Amino acid sequence: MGKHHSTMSRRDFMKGLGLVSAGIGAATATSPLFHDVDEITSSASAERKRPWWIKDVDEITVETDWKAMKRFNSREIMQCSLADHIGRTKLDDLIKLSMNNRKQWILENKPGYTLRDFALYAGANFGWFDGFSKCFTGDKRTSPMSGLGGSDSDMYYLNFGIDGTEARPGSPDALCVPLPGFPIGGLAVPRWEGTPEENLRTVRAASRFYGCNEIGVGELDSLKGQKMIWTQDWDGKHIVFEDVDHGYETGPFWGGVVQDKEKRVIPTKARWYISLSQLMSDWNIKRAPTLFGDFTTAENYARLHYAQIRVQRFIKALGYEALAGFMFINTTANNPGMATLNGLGEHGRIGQLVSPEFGSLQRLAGIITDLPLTPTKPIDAGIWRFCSSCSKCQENCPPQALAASDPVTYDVKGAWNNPGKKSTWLDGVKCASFWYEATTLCGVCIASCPWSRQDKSWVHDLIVKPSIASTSMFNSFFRKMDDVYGYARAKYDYKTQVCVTERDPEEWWNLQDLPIYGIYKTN
Amino acid sequence: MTLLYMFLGLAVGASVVGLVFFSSTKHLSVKWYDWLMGIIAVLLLVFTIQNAVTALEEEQRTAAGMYLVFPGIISLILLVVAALSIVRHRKSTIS
Repeated sequence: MGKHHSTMSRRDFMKGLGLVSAGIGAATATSPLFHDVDEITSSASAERKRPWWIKDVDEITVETDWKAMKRFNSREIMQCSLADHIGRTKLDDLIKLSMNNRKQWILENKPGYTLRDFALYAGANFGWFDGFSKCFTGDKRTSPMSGLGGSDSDMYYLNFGIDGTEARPGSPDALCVPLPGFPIGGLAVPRWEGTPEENLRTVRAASRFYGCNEIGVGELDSLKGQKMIWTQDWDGKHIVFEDVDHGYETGPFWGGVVQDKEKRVIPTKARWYISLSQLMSDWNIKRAPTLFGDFTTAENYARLHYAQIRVQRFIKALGYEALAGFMFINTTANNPGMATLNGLGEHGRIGQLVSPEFGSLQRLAGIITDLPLTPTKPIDAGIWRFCSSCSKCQENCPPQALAASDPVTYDVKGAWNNPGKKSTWLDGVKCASFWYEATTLCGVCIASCPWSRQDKSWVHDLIVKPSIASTSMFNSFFRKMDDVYGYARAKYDYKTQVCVTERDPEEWWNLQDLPIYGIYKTN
Repeated sequence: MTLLYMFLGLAVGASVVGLVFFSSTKHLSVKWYDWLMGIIAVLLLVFTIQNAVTALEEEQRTAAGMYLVFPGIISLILLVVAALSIVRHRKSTIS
């Protein structure tokens, strides 16, 4: 620990965040326990431990023309613009088809789409589409005495707010309304001070504690980092940088009618972007494109959303700005692009981040902050080179939104692609239209990727991955062996129009030793 | 997994100690290449077991079976060849 120490009582500080409180679920039960921020900073998990064969590099591995690349409008991506490309009538037809298919398949008891499968998806959805604060500037509730004091605390509410005459300050409706004295819960103490290196270790350790697998940090410079911030957010608000002290937004927080003048403002002093990643369940996603893929996605986004809000609160309680995607955690910034810049992985043919540890078997979130942090560099683990010999995601894509014949080019397929990198490109119309047909968000590309696994086998860690990082000579061989050994078998059968997985979806319900979250096999 | 690694360590250790003890009491002539083949075979066997067990843990049944075929069978063949080689040396010594 360096000379930069907070003058506040760290034990009280951590209490205020609720970190020391017990009973916050299985994830917490299996996590390390810290007593103060110094312990977090000096803990083993604060160090970035990665295999020796992952090299830090100055540039991302996919060729990119940064001068040609511009900030992109998220209203152009397919989640927001499908109707613009296929027309309102066609989209309405797809929505009807989706609803009919869902009902029909439930009635037919179709494997992977039964009522039991749908119910699991509905449960996993809490925290993603439903629940949690959906606020750019983060959840504001915090108090110096955790639940015991302050006008926003549960105890205050129980004593004074139960007659119904007083709105509870911490109610969901009030989540986005700043409380007096925030951050640091009205304690009026100096903010936390640390070197960028210490801060990186601190945030990494806290993020791990909250359930993130890895973090990366990049600077929001005008040449690269800022280009990953949307110009206009999913709900239509503009995202702008202003020379102000605190981030803010105008108009409704989420769900209301957004006027064109409304905006989310990032202070120019908030120069760092923290990319957060969280592992998905390969047990479940390998059963894509059924509802098993969807509830994996939903559960993962919900858990990561939860982790992101907690990291936001952590940084805000340290006394700094913490702005983040407020809905599905993918708003505000292009998280895969940002995570590629920040070294969590490489850009893959799949069009998503592929990390050396988990491939695309992960979901991403991010936080913009003015807490000074040491940036992490992009990496080269041979993934982009391997993608050229593989193309499994493209071969197995049900609607051929990704196709094996796709060239690596600067020419995009449509307005939904952000030009500037030399890559293969996703046909967003085919992809999003198939979602409605399948009634799910598909996920076959993720399930097919040879990197998408937890990789506990020595053969991958000792032989395959180091070889791929060192030379592309054996890439074709490794790709063939991946088939021979039966990995990543989520193949789409175009004759029967069903996805052939090695794993029977409904068998999942009878698995004897199902891991926690479908990931952590511990008793 | 901890138990698996403990078991593998014990099995490998016991095998080596047993072989050394057996070769000294029975006056077996174990050449350097027999040792080499045996060590490679044992390493491959440990490698096979680790890969197969973890593949099963990841619900990759085909992969688990394939690991038993390769490198599993190779390791067993090497073990048998090493054992036959030692036996052949002993026979030639007796005759």
